[in-house]
Amino acid sequence: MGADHDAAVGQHFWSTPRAMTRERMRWYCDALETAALANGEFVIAEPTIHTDEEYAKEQGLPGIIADGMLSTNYISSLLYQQFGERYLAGGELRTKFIRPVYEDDVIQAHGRVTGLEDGRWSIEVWCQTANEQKVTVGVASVPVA
Amino acid sequence: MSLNGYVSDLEVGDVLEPVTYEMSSFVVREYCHGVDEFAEEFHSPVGSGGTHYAPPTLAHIDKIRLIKKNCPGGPGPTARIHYEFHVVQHRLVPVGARLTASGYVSNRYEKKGRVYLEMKIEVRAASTDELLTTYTDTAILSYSPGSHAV
Repeated sequence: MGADHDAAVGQHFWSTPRAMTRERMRWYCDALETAALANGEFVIAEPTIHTDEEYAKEQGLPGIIADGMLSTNYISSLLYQQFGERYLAGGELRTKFIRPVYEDDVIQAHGRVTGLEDGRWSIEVWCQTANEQKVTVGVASVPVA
Repeated sequence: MSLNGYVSDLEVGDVLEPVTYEMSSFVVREYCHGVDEFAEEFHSPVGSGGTHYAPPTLAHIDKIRLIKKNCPGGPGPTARIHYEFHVVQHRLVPVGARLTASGYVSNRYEKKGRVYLEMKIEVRAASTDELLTTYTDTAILSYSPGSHAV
């Protein structure tokens, strides 16, 4: 991936569905802390609503939920696959987390090109569950050249 | 000024002490493994001109870095919930770049009984001050049943 692809208004593209396993939730939390520490050591993250069932329930949740940045990253990855380096060098991405993603929900990232204005593609983006319930919604834009 | 305590203590106008760091291949690979980003350009220098790319979503780590430095007490008495992510990429950020992230609290408001905290963050090249990334992060400072943010 990574080649600069063309797009067209109305074009709809999507990712491979992914099961939001508890391992994916934990891998993300550990990677987040490891990346933030940035000294070469691998970090096991402190218990959070994303990794600890009891703590999540204490906070009023029915169980652990995925960090919203996981679905944002699925969208970001999709934009890179579609638009390549132009997305990395001049892209914009805005996502809002409107519903929790629970363990084993199957999540798929989507993008739909909605316009072309001032040399930029406008894209509606979202992540949805297997029953097509949107959990993350947003907009993106990417320079045409 | 509400720094050096909890995130939940932050107030509008609080300016966070900047952090300067190198965008290392270790950080990019670790983060990308953690988010199922398997495009090889994020794992080795096979991008255009032999560049090892960093994804725009790594701006979120800048927020974490700034919070760890400025709010050593952690999130506060309840879980912090991420609500909105907004990144604008002005230039490509390659692995090896030395970067400075700075930020401030731009808004704090209450809606439907929940307290929202908005932070604006800029990432610049440490040597040239060139603006590379602008990031706005909105979090809910405490979860309450019925909240839909994650």
